[in-house]
Amino acid sequence: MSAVFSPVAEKWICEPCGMIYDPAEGDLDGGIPPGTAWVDIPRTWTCPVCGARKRDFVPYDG
Amino acid sequence: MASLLDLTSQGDVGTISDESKLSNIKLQDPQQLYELWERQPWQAHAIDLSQDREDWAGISEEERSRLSWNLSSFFVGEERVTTQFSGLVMSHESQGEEAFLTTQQVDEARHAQHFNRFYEQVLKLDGSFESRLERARGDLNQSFLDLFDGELVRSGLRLTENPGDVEAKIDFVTLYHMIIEGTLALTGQFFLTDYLEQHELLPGFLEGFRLISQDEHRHVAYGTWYLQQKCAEDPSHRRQIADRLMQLIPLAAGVLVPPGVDPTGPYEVLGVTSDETNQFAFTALNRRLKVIGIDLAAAAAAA
Repeated sequence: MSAVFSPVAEKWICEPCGMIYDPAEGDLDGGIPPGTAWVDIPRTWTCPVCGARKRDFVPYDG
Repeated sequence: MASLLDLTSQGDVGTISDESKLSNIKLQDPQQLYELWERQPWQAHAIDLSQDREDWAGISEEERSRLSWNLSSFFVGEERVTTQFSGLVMSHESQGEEAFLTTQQVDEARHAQHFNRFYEQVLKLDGSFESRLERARGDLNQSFLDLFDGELVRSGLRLTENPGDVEAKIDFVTLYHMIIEGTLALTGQFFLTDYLEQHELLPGFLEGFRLISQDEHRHVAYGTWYLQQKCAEDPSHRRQIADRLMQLIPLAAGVLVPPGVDPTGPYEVLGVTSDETNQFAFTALNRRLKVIGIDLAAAAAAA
């Protein structure tokens, strides 16, 4: 059986600083409630550590 | 209208129940950031500015004026930070940190080169690099000059005179990485990039500006890492950083106000209101400080 891709649970990592966005935790300070999938985060959101934009994140397998 | 200073005092209402998690974020160390720098090379002089020349010739005098304040702030800022950075390189505490800080100084010089080339080839300012910088200085406000010619120079000299002074290094990183890069530059970059993308203007400049932002994110990541490490080693540094921020934020708030504008009234720059600008800057600073373990609102209340 092949693995099921789950975009809702997918984590993303900020390439410049290594901060990991975990949908289970969200980013309350950035106005992102827990349970928010990456695709639903607004494009104006930025990394809390280094200020990188959403487009600077890549999928994370860890 | 809430200024950056007002927002600092009132705190970040309606957020954060996870501060403990934020201060536990594992950040990339300087060696990792150096290796990232090797994977992200670029050349300021390889960027094609031909379309930019056409774009600049085609926009109105009013739009040029609005853009000039933004562009000149970055041009002069990049030159200032390049020359005032040597003390921090000298203060390195590991080979990885030495390698990373050296790359950051090179980055700042490259950023200034990008702006100089743009001013020469697109704005058609003849003469020397120095004369173009002098022209750009005429677009800036007094708060900018006080911060970059005053605070930054004094802070850099203090560190150059004694690179082993940890308190001087913390003060410098707080000014440079938290205020200048992490608050002012990232805010300006965000809105100027959006404006140029939405209006499909100055593609060559924008290509370089995006790469500059990529570099700045590495730099801010270093500053956040450094201050987080120091606060973990000795929590009393939190007080020092908070005091330094309280000293710098009034000046930084002034830097965000265009020349000739009433800082107490609402105004708009490149389609963005002053409230939006100040809120973005405050949120960026506040979230980063939480990663380091500093509560800005509490610091403001205690000041």
